[in-house]
Amino acid sequence: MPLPASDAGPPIAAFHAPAGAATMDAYAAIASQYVYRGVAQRDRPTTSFALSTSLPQGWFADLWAGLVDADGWNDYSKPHGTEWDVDGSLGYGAAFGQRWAWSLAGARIVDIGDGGPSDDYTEWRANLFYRDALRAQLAYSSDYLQRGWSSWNAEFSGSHFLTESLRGEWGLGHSHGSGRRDNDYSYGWLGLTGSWLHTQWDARWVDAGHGARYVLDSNSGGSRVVVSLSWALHLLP
Amino acid sequence: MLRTLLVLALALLFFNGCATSRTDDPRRLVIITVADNNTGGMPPRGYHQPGYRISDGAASALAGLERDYRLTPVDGWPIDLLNVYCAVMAIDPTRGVDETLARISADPRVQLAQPMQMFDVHGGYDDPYFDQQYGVGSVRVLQMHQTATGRGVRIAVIDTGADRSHPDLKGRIGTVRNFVGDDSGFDSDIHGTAVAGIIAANADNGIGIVGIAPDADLLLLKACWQRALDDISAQCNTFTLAKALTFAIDQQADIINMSLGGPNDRLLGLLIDVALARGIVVVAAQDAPNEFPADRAGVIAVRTAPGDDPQPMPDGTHPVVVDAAARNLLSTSPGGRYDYFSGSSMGAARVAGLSALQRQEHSPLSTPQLIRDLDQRLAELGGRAAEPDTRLVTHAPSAQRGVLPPSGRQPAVSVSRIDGT
Repeated sequence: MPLPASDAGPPIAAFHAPAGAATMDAYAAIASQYVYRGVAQRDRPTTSFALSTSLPQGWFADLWAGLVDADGWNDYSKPHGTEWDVDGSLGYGAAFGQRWAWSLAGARIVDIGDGGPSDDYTEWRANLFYRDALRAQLAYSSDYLQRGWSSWNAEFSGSHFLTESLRGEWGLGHSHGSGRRDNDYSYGWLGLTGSWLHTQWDARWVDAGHGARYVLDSNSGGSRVVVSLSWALHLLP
Repeated sequence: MLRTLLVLALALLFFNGCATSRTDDPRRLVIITVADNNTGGMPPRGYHQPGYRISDGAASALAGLERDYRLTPVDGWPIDLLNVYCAVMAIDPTRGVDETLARISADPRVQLAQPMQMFDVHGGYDDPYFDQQYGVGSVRVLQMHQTATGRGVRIAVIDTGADRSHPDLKGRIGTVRNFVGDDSGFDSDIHGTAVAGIIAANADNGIGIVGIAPDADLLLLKACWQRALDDISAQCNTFTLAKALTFAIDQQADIINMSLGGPNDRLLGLLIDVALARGIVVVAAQDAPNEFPADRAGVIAVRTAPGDDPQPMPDGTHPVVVDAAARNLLSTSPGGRYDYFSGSSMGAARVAGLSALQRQEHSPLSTPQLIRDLDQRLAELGGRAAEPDTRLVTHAPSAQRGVLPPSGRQPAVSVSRIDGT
């Protein structure tokens, strides 16, 4: 049995030292459509990839790329074209206490392949996590899509194991200034997720308020069901 | 409506987090591993959660265990080497530790459950100065340096911290990790500084001492915490050692030096088996029979025979090196100083250094080859030694020498000292 308390070692806080190694994880996913913050950026099958790296000191760099349907710049009537939406972020994060973690990041969102004028923009994100059960995010951009106005998004989501292999998930979000300067809309989702043969599956029903239609086109909001499969590969350590 | 929901959720979150935070009694801590074969899925875009990589299966199992046995999670991390998620949990104060641990061990969701165990670094005494310098001359290391200096060999030193700015360790310490948490005393830790100096203090730099393998690359992995500022003794536990071992294996160290010991530990034993299976040489100090990790099959155990009496060594199932000369070894000390050190910790460091020389000359060298070569080298040194108390003789069952058993474990080889003969 463990030694008496007097010999038992460092405070519990010592256990929360950095894991000690840099990490690098790669991900791939396919989905029936791509919905981001309640808005369907592609309402047909799509794919996405991600690379996540972190240093033991807490710094991290993430790269996400997904195939989306381009809208024209402020011209929602233009026919869809395909482009890569690339989201690169640099940030810092840490755990505090036994269950909580936070991270702050600056992200640059770049569209590749749309052929139109640049609508790249920078976004700042603050995340708060409670284990793997709850998470909250506040994101802010001072020049969303280079349209000359600021926007923000707040999202609160969580999940809970229903059985040993099935997890229920939910989320609520609110966006301001996306699509139009004074546009506001709320959205939410309910879903189920689980894993099978090294594949994570996810099925969720998403519903977005009326304002979401002004973000891309008239079909980008509303209610829809999204099914996705994803895979992860731990490259480091 | 949305605001109300958010406020309610945050309030629930806060109270839930506060309700189970009493985990400050180390005697109630247990290590639990559950299967973690699933690599998980893609996290949501834009969410980077620090330090959290757990599969659904492992998370579900741990959530169930927490609920069923009233456990409080303290920490956890995936050990990809073993395909498990390793969690540190605190047992509820109202429940018996032994009884709860026994029930958890029998739970089919659990692969391994054990108490959080404590380990001590060895060589816990610091002899007064003697007018002598033990070291490279007495073991003919200078001769060995004609052909090998440990260049290109990576030695993971799992110990306390060490003086990273010591002039005699300059350039030797490459990767540094602290698995204990508090970084304030890292450079003032005595034990790790001494061990590092014996292994790899710089040669031919006009100052100080010469390590056994002066060109080796050290991975300094702090898993032990010094008890007090000027006290060489230090402690580690299962969790910090497991993290350090995993890191050393992932970093593809050639040699792992563990100048420490304690009770048998299943989790650490599994990790050491992985290291040995990957051809990593593991050297450990041993102050008492059946002391872990030195008694793990395949580990090179280093014991120090007390005084001038030859210590008969049992022919166990693992190699044992008796290094009676590990007394009054001059080595590096924090603050750029030097001091004399004794004990099996320093003996283990010497053997780790010798192993690095052999590794360089015969790379890649399997552990059985290394043992055979080390055995021979030590015997030769004994034969040539001018000082009687460094003569060494091997006791290796001839039928086992050089034969790798089907299990992959190393043949039994023991080396002991004969005085003045």
